[in-house]
Amino acid sequence: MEKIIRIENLIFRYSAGGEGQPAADAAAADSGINAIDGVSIDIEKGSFTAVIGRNGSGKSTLAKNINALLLPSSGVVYVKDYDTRDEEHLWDIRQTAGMVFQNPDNQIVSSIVEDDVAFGPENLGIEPEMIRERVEESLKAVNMGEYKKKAPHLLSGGQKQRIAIAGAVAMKPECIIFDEPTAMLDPKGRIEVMEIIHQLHSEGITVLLITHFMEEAAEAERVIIMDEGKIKLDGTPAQVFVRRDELKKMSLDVPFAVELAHRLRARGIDIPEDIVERKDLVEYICRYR
Amino acid sequence: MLRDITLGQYYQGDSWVHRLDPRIKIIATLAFIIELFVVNSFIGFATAFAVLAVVIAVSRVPLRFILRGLKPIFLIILFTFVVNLFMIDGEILVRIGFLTITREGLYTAVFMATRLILLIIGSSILTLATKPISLTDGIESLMKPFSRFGVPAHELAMMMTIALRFIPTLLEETDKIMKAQQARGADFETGNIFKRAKHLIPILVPLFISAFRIAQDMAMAMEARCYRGGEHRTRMHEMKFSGRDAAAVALMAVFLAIIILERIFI
Amino acid sequence: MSIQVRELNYIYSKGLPDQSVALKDVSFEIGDGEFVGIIGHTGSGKSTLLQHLDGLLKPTSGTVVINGTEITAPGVNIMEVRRRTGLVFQYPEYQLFEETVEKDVAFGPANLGLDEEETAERVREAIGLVRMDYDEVRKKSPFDLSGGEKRRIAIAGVIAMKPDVLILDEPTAGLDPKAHKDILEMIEKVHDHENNITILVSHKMDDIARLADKVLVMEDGCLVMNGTPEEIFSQRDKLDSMGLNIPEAALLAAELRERGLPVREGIMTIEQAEEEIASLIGERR
Repeated sequence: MEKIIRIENLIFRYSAGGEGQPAADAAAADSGINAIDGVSIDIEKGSFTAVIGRNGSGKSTLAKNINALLLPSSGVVYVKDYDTRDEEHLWDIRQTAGMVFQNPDNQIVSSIVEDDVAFGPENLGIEPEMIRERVEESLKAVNMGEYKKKAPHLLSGGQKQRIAIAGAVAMKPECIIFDEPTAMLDPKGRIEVMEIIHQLHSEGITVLLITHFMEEAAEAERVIIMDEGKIKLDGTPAQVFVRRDELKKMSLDVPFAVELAHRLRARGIDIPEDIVERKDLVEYICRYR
Repeated sequence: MLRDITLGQYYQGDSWVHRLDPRIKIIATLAFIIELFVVNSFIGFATAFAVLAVVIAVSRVPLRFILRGLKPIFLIILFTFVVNLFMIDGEILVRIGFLTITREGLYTAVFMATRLILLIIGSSILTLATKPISLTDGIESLMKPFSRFGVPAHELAMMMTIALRFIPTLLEETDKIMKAQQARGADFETGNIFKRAKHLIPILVPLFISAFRIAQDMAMAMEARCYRGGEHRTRMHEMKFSGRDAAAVALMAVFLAIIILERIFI
Repeated sequence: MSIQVRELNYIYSKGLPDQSVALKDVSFEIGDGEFVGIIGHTGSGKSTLLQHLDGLLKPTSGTVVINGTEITAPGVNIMEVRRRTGLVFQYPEYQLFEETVEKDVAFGPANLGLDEEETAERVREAIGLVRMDYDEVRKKSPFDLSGGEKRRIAIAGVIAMKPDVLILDEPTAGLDPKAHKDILEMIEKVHDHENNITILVSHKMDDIARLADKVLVMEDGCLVMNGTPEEIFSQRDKLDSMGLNIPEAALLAAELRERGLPVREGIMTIEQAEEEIASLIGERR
C-alpha cells in the first residue's frame, strides 16, 4: 500500500515564544523539552487514522509538522515523497495534505460561503470556470449546497465547520488532516461533521483525525496514542482500548462500552476484549443470557 | 443590539446596477462626489437628484435601506445645517435673542445639507448594490497600476476583505464580553467621561486579545490553503467589461457634461 | 434561599420585522441548595433564560424572584441582582483582562463595593476553591496560564462574588476529558462548600445525571420537562424527538430492555449499570 505520509524520527522543539505554540508548551519550550520527541509513523493512502492525546501531548504539533506549518528540529517528514523542508514543493505539500482547524470561525476568510470555498482554488491559480465547478462539488460533498450565497456568520458551528471542510476539499487534496474539528461544536454539529469525515474517507481521501473524543477514535481504522511527544500505543481501536490502565495513567478515557466491559470482566464475567462499541456489548450481553 | 448596525451592508439583488463592473461603480461614485462639489446651484443638485433617483429605481434596492444610511450621520447633517444657519452674515431675516438667521445663512444651510445628503445616498448605493468582495476586488484592480510605486494593492484589498468579514463576528464578541463583564458588576452607563473611558478597559483588552488570536488562526488557515500573496492568484468572480458598463460610462459622461454646462451658464 | 420564575416571556426585536419569541410562559421553582441542570438543543432559549436570572435581560412579561427580591421589578437595584446571581458564560477565559490573576479575580468583588481587605480575602478563597495555588499564581499574568487554568481563574472571578445562585453555561466546553472531569469535580466541591444554588447548563447528560437534583428541559423557548434526573432520562423517546440524548448508561439499559432483558429503571451511571448487569447475568468467580 502506498504510503502517503512518512515521518522519520521527528523531533520538534518550539523556540521560546514561538508562533502557534499552545500555552501548555511554553514552559516546556523554556526548559528545553521537545514537543515531539522522536516520532516515526507511516500513513497509508486511503486509511483513517485517529491520533489521541491529552493537551500538551504533541498531537496538534504533529499535525502542523505534516503540512509544513512547522518544520522539524530534526528528522524528516515526507508527504507523497516531498520533504516538508523543501521550499520548492511547499505548495504541492499543502495541496496534497489539506487541513481543517478547531475553531470554525477563524478559518473562514470571506463573507460569502461560496467565495470562501473558492479561496483555496484561487490560491492555486485555477481557471475561474473550474473554480466554480469545484466550489459546487465541494459544497455538495458536505451537504451545504443550498447555503452557497449565505453569510457564514449566520451559520451554526457545525455548518461553519462543514464550510471549512468544503474549502479544503475544493483543493482536491489526497489527504485531509482534521485538527480537533469537533472540539468547539455541540452534539448535533459533532455528528454532522463526523458523518462528512466518514463520507470523505469512503470516497478515497486519507483521513488523519486529531481528537480527544474516544468515541470518534473508536470509529477509526487505526488509533495512535501520543503522550509527552512520543507515541505510546498504536493499533486498531480494540487493540488500543484494551490497554485501559495505561490510558488512564495518561489521563485519557476509554469509550463507555470498553470501560463497562472492563469492570464486568473484573467481576469474572467473560467479555471478549475486542468489544469496543455499545451495540456490540448489548449484543453480547443478550446472547450471554 | 450591536448587530443592527448596517454599515454599508449589501442588499442582495440582480439588477443592472448590481451587475455593473465594480470598478466602474467605484469610479462613478467618486466622480459623482466630485461633481457634487463642482455644483454651485440647486439646479445642479436637482440634476444629481434625478440621476440618483434613476439609479435607485434601476437597482431595486428598497428606499428604507437607502435612508437607513442617513441615520448615523443625521447629527452631522443637523449640525452642519444649524452652524450655517446661524453663523453666516448678511441680510437678516429672523432674530432670536442674540442669534440671527440671515437669507445667506438659510441658503447656505440648505445647500450644504443637501450636498451632504446626496453624497451619503450616492455612497450608500455603492455599498448596497455591490458585494463586499466585489468592492475589494474593484479597489485592488484600480490600485494595481500604483503597485509599481510601492502601493501593496493586493495586500490592502485582502486586509479589507478579511476586516469586512470579521465585523459581525467582532461585534458579537464585543456583545459577549460586555455581558460577561456586566455579570461581574461592571457598569458602562454611569460616571463622567473619564470614568467611562476606564470602564472600557475590561472590554477592549479581551477584544484585542481575541482579535490577535483570530489573526493567528487565520494566518495558519490561509497558509494551509496555499495562500502566498497576490501573484498568480485567480478569481472565481471575474470582472468583465460589458455593454452595460459602457452604457454606464456614457451616462456618467453626460451627467458630467450637464453639470459643467450648468456651472458655466447658470 | 429560593428562585421563583413565573410566566416568563421574552420576545426579541419586538415590533420589528425579525421579531422572534425566545421564551414562552416559562415557570419553575428552585429550592434552597439545589443543583439544577438545564438541557436543550442550541436555540432552545437556555442562554436567554440564564440572562434573565442575572438581570442582563428584562422580560417582556413575567417575574423572577430570587431570595424574596423580585429582580424583574422596575427600579430594582442592579447591583443587588449582581450580588445574588453569578453567571459564568461559555469560554469565560475570553473575558480575562487584568495585569495579574489577583486583580482579575478581584474585579467582581471590587465592583460590588467591598473594601480592600474583604476583596483580598475573597480572592484568596476563590482561587483556592478552583484548586489553584494562590501564592503561585496571584502575581502572574492571566495570559501566561494554560487554557484550563485560565478557565478556572475566570470561574474564580465569579465565585469571588459569593453569589446565592451560581450559573454555569457549559463550563467544560472545548476541554479535553481530564480537564472536563477536573472542572466538574471542582463545581461539585464549590457547590457543597458555598451551599448555594447551582445551575448547570450542559450537553453532557452524564454530568447532569451525576450532579443534578433537578433537570429542566427547554425546547423552542418553552419549559417542556421538569423533574429529577431519573424521571427525565427515563423518557428516552421524548428526549430523542427533541434531538437530545440520555446518559450512556441509561442508553445501554434502554437498549437491553428493548431486547427483552428485565433491566430495572433509573440506571444512569456506569456503576449502576455494572451492578445491574452483573446481577442479571450472574457472576462467575
